[in-house]
Amino acid sequence: MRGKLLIVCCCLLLVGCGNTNEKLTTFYATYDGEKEKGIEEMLDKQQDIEHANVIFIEDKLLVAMQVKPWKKYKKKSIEKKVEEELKKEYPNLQLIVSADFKLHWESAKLIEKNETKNLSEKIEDLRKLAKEET
Amino acid sequence: MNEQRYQTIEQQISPKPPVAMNMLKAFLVGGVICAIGQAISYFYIIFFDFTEQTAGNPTVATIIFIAMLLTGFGLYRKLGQFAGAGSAVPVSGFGNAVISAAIESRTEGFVLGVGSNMFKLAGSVILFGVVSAFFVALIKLILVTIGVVSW
Repeated sequence: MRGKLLIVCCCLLLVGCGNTNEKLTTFYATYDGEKEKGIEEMLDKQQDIEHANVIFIEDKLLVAMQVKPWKKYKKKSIEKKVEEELKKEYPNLQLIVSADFKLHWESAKLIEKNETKNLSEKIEDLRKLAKEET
Repeated sequence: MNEQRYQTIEQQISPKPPVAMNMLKAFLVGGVICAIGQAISYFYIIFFDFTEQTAGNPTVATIIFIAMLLTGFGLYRKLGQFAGAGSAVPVSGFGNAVISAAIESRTEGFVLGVGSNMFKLAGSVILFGVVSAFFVALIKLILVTIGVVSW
C-alpha cells in the first residue's frame, strides 16, 4: 500500500514538474508583424501568467489568460494591468482581456479550428460572455 | 461526590476521541466533496455558457440537489457519521440540514410541518449570511465613497 502510494506521489510530482508548454498560443487572422511581435513580447514579460491564448482579427485583440495558481486571488488586478499595458501600446485596438477559464477554453477551441470564417462574431460573443455577471 | 471528583472520574472513564483520525477523515471527505464541486463547475463552464464567475450558482444548486437525494435515501447520515465536519461544512451539509428537517416533520402537514420546521436548523445560517453580507457591503460602500478602495 505504502509502495503504491509512493509511486502515485512520484508520478504526480513528475507530471507537475514536466510542464514545458509554450506560454503563448497565437492565431493572427489579420497579419501585422510589428504588432504581433510587440504583443507577444509584452505578454511574455508578464510574470503572473501561466498561459495565454491570443487571437487577433481586424481591430479586435482577444487575450485569454490563465494566471498562476497562487495569483488567482489577484485575477482582476492582473487583467486590469495587462489591459492597461496593451491599451497604452495599441490605443486603436478593441481589447478583450480576460483571465476566465471559459474564455481560455473557447479561445483554444477557436485557435484549434484555425478558421477565419465568423471569427469576429465569435469573439464578439465571447466579449458579451465575459461581461455577463448573473 | 463533589463536582471536581466527578469530573476526574468522568475523564478517566470516557474513551478519548480519536481527534487526529477524525480530522483526517473530515479533511479527506470535505476535500472530495469540494473536488466534486469543482468538477461540476468545470462541467458547466465547458458544456454550457457559464464563465468561472457565473458557474457558482448552478454548481451550488447541483450539489444541494445531490445532497437532497443522498439525505432522502439515508446515505448522507452515514457519510456524516464517518466524516463529521467534513460533510457538514461544505454547502451539501447546509442542504442536508434543510432537507432532513423537512423530511422529519412531513407527518405534521405541509404548511405547519414542513413549512415551519424546514428552516429550524439552517434558518440561522441564512439569517447570519444575509445580515453579515449586508454589513460587509455597507462597509465596502462607505470605503468606496470615502475613496479608500475601488469596486
